[in-house]
Amino acid sequence: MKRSKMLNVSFSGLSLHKKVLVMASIYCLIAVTCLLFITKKGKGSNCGIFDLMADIGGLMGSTNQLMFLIVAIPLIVLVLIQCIEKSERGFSVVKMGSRFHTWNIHVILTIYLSFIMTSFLLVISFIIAGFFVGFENTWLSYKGTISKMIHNQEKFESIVAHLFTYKIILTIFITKFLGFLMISFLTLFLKQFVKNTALIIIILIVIAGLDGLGTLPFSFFSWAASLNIRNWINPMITVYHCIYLFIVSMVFYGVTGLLYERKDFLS
Amino acid sequence: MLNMEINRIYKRPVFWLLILVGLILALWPVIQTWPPHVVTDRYYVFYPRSAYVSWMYFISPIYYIYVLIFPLLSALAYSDAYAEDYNTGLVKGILTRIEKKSYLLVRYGVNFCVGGFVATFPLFVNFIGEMAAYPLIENNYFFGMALVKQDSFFPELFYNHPLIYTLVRLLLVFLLGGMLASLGLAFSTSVKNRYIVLVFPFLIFMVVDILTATINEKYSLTTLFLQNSQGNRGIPFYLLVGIIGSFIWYYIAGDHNETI
Repeated sequence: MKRSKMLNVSFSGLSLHKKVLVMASIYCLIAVTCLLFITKKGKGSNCGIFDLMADIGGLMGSTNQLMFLIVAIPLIVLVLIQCIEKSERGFSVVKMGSRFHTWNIHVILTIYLSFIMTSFLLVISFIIAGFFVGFENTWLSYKGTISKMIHNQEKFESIVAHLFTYKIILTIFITKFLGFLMISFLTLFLKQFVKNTALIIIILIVIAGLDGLGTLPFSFFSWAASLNIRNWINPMITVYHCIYLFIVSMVFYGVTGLLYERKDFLS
Repeated sequence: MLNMEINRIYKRPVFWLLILVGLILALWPVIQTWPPHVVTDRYYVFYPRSAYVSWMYFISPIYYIYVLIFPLLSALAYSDAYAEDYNTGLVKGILTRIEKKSYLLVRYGVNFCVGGFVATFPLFVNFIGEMAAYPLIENNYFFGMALVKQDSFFPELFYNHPLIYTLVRLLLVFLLGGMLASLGLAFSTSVKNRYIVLVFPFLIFMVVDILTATINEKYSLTTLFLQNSQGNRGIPFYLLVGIIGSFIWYYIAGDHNETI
């Protein structure tokens, strides 16, 4: 099968589930708006757009840990599994020709879904947060949250170059994209052993919860894709987290691909 | 019909898996707070420690994970039974033997009880475990038991009748679990995809919780039912709307569904 055709099959696979996508978008919109509102309530009047989007605590905000627990995990699992189950039906598998092609279509779908979801999340977060507090990047000023948190003018001046609007947006985009990608690949991996969607969500939420509680001395799941003050003071932490998320995604890609080579679609 | 339902539940691997998950969630905090570890209490803050204050409902970090998966625990146990019967055609076999209305009623009741039981199980087992570790000392506000304060859920009941307080808390959690399981069951009359049915209560719980937390945190579902905070009219309101609403939806839609 040609690569361009595989892309088309993947995209059409996603677009077949219009109802699911519309419901997921509405759910995402409501949840993100509420998350932004709750973050704003906790912050008071002196907060900027990025305080609402990526709160420096790492938990609140529309792109941090709570978003992963409430929005990303349930939606990714639901949408991805709906699409996969459809493309693994007898007729579709026969049409694909080989297990390798079927698996690659899932992978393209996963990347596509992660990209769409990240873009959607970022756009609606930016617009709604902008309507709440204005579009000005307050993190650049001395009165901003990061400057107040650091409480050291020299140190703040040394990191202010990392806080330009485009850099913050790019950082949020990359970390969220890789986070969604890892969740998607883990979902595909778990799907090989667990048929029940709700059980997969339980497993992922428990892992995310354990990560949030700091069970291990390092972030190993969604917390690695969340951004807190340490990420902005030392951007290398973000780079390490991104590399970690990418490697974990690739490991799940490889292992699940191997499992797919032996998969019996008839059973 | 009732016997058949009970037999079916016993034979469901997912039910036993949820019980196992519940046991892990319940016993992990007990192991963490077993008596030799009590000296790790900073400044003996809970001294003299009792089972009432050691209960995971008040102090365990694991409780945070339990709260997150609570709607899934309650729905996963049996909410998809109607959709399963419908998809496999089993409903035809059942309805040739009993009336449709009694089938619907028994199914609703069993699903409610199973959902509530699975959701309450970790809290109940944890309390039993804490009772094995610590004595049931009478609660005293001035000696290490100031967890339930003026703005908490019925503080007078906690200090005067702690066991009744614990049972009331368990009953509320049971009703919430049953309500969420019933919502899943009612939804299965419209959508026959079992996996969407199982996730529906979770999504509804999250949306209602986050919406109410945005408007007025006092009325948030988590705050009212699963946290140590003041009770208000929201508790009966949610329960009545959820239980009666899901029952009417399920009963009417189920009765209209063409099965044979």
